[in-house]
Amino acid sequence: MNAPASARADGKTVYTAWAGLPALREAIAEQLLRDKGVSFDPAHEIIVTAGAQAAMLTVTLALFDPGDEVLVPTPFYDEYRRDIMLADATMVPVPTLLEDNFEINPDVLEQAITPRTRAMILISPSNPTGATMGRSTLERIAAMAQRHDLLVIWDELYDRFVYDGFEHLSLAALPGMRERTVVINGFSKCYSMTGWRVGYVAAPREISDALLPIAHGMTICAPSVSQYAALAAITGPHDWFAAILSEYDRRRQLWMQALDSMGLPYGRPRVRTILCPTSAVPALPRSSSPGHYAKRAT
Amino acid sequence: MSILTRIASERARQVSATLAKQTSINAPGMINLASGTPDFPTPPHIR
Repeated sequence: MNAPASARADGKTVYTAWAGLPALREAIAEQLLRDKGVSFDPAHEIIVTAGAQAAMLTVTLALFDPGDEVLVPTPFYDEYRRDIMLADATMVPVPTLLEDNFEINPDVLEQAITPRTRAMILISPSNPTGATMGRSTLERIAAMAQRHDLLVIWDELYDRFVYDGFEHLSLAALPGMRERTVVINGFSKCYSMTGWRVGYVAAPREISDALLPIAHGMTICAPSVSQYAALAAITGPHDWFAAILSEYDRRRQLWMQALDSMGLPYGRPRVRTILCPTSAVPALPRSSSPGHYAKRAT
Repeated sequence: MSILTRIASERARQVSATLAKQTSINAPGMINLASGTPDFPTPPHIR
């Protein structure tokens, strides 16, 4: 019997700790330390949420006040706009460019900072562009965040979908960043369990203490059976994922070959199969392009 | 004015205006480019 079936059979269908099953938080902490080199206390610094989506709204409601400005590189995952809106804060779009593979330019990011800027939301690897950030960019962003005393919301939901030998690094692992970084991640994409709705936030205790009442207000806790499924996912075998990644890489190559053959510009993605032609494509009217972004969501 | 003439809050209206309608969900044999659900099966030990 698999983990969620066992949980149901054993009657583990009641509330868990508000922050999530202790065993799941410990497994998340172990994974963060092992894979990202960043240490969070599972007892006080990790909150399991009903999907990463709930984590995002929890963070914006808990940390932003009306008038706070939040930098968001564009193109962006649209839910962040709504989450910032719900917090009555102000989203400040910061453009990224096709010719830069949509990678964030720290100089452009810094130019958008005002005295009201409280945080930046960075998705790496990016949804929807597939852009990534190398160590030098991360170091410049880290220095900027510390120089301007900003929080960083660090969404790394697609951290395992990387290609071309790219090594995903966590901003939270850089010197001086753990205390000002809020890590958001989840189980939906890497384990194909979107319907289970399990995500998490990892953040220093002072921040986590602010997050928990909001997370509680939304769902009290993440669904208990789903948490057992997530626990099975994170503690179980991961060797199956190599075949998945290989198939997505094959599709990515096909997309790029097709776009190349049509002479269409795109940002070369180093993560999952996301491509992003621009609206400047003359033979591809926006009305006929798939939502402006040729996006293959995994 | 009846309370029923304005059901949604201003906040709900603002958010609604930014949200595209859910047009489809994943189905067997179909790759839905919009749903965000991976098209590989959930591993058996998780299900």
